Amino acid sequence: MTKRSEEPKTLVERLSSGDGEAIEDFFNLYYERIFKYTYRMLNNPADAEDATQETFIRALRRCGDVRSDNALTHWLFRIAHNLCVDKRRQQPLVELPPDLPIGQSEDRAATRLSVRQALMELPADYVDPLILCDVQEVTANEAAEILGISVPALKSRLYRGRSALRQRLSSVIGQQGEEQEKKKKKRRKSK
Amino acid sequence: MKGIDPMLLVGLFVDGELPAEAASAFMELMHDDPQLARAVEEARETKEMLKDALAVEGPTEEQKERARNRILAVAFQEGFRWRYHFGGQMELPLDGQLKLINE
Repeated sequence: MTKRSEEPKTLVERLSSGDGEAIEDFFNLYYERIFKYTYRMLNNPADAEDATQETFIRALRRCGDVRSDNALTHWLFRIAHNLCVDKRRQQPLVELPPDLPIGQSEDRAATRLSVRQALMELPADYVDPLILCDVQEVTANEAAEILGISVPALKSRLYRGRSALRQRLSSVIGQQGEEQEKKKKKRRKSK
Repeated sequence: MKGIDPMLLVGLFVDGELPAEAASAFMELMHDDPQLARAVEEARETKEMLKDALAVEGPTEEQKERARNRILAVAFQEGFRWRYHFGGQMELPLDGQLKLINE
């Protein structure tokens, strides 16, 4: 049998024992995911940068609270989530990014903007599960842990959120469908 | 079906979380009920649109470096310890000059 002392230390154990090199591993493992999450939650890369740094600093200060590497992901997301919720409360009017990536068609850019606007109009109870599960692709169990709710409650909010988003978007989708039809007809006529 | 929220069933189906038997029964229902089929299609479409709308760029190298430096500085101030690795072993002689040994 292997002695406990010979087993490699987990990341959580290394962090808790004050091992500075473990921070590099921790950072490399999670920085990008947390940055993308805070960016989606705050809709702004500068705020996302601040929130992500703050998430890691808080995590390092409280790394004794987490028991295993398995719990590390949702624990870290939970810290990031709470920070984003606080930031959103402080600045409820979130600025939309002025430029969309180059190379996107106008229609796609317009749809993206409409979806973002529709999402901002939804209650936070719906927005958070939608971002975590549908965009960030966190499992339902992890998302429920992050939000501090039960899995059935999470699913109910997620599905109602999708439905509410769909309702808000239906006029946009309808308009775009009509415009596409018009363009098709024009093309056919010109041929 | 009484008491079950149809949206919950649609969501579970779209997310592939219905057990196999229930999923095939649901597919049969969809076949007979265009409204249900449409609800499924809309749920899928909404999910895709959301994913596309919230696609974001990852952090730039510059942002990453800035974050790394700040986080490491705070960790250093708060007592995290580093073991420094050098190509060869270092020794500190009495005159205080560091020099490489075992090159």
